[in-house]
Amino acid sequence: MTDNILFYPVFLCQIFLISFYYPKEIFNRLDEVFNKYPSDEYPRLYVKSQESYKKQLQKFKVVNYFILIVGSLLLVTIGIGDYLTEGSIDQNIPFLYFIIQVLPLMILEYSGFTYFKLMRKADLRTTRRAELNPRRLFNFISPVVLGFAIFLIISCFLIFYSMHQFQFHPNNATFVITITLVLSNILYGGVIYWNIYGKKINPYQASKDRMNHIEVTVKSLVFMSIAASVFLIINGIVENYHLEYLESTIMSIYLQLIIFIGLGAVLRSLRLENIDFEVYRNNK
Amino acid sequence: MNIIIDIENSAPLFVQLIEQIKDAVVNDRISPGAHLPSIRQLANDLELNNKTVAKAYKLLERDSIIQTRGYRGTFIHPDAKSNCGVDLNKWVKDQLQNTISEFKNAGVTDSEIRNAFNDVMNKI
Repeated sequence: MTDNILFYPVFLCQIFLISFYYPKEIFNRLDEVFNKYPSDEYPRLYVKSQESYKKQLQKFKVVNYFILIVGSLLLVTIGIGDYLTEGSIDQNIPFLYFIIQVLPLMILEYSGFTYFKLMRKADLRTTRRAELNPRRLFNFISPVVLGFAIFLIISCFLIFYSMHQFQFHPNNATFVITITLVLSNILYGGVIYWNIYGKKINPYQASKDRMNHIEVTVKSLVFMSIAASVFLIINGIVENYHLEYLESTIMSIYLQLIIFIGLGAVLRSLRLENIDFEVYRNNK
Repeated sequence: MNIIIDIENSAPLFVQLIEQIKDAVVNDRISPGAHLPSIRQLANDLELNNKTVAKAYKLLERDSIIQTRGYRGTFIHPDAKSNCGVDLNKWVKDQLQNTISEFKNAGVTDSEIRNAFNDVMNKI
């Protein structure tokens, strides 16, 4: 129990951050949009009735409360089990609970794509507008930060391979690390490329807002890559020095960190008052 | 600087693109040496086919309004403003008109001119 004492406040923080704090932030943000920018004045913002969005938002709130309760019960169960058995807590527990926690967020993200698809379908304007300025990766992220992210990926490989005497085998951790790092960074790179050079998903979005959105996304993904490398390095060190009792705590911190860097950055940086909502009026 | 394309306009999309870039150069809204977006970026932003933008860029490059510097991208040509005054379409039309007038004065019929023109075009 004493070995795992650090896990409890950290996991409690995970429960509240992902299933209470951020969902509440999202709820308040969307509620503010509904109140400040109603459908009669900003019809382009609503491809369905405003009421249907409010209902969806209520469901999102209820589901998150349910997950919050499940998390609290899980914490109590882990505590009792830990008190009775004195074993280390499996690092899969915070991870599996995290999967449940992000499900409503992923559904919300998916409904965002559907929303923009309907918005593009409803857009009957015959004119199309584009900025005659090139967008390049280094307009959005400093080369130093990107270089640091690449340095950490290489360091992560080197640390793991040196731990396993530079032997690559499907049965050892180097294989898992290689696959994890390569796939996650390809995914981040793909999303960054798609954001910079891909199609505009919101047809009305002001150019300045689009640039801000791309910047936040690029920075978030590069920092997520840095966080992933750091997490894997720490995990390797923990394994090497037989500090397994810390694994679940580190996993929970990492999961909170990626939400803080990803979703948190979007909510912090793209403030409603800085977004141009005038584009959603009908006369524009 | 913004480019606005109207898909209901009778002018072809690539022509609208060329005209707007030329107009921006002539009116100093874009200066020589300015970096232009890539074909893919502009095509995606305007929801056009890549080939449409590529065609516009190719014609602008032919007229020395823009220049491609390998992997660095596409830039406005240093002499773009003076080159905007050159209208190749008008020049071709004028040349053809003079030649056709000469043929007609020599008594060549319209169908003979058309057939000859088609034959020459097919051979080139």
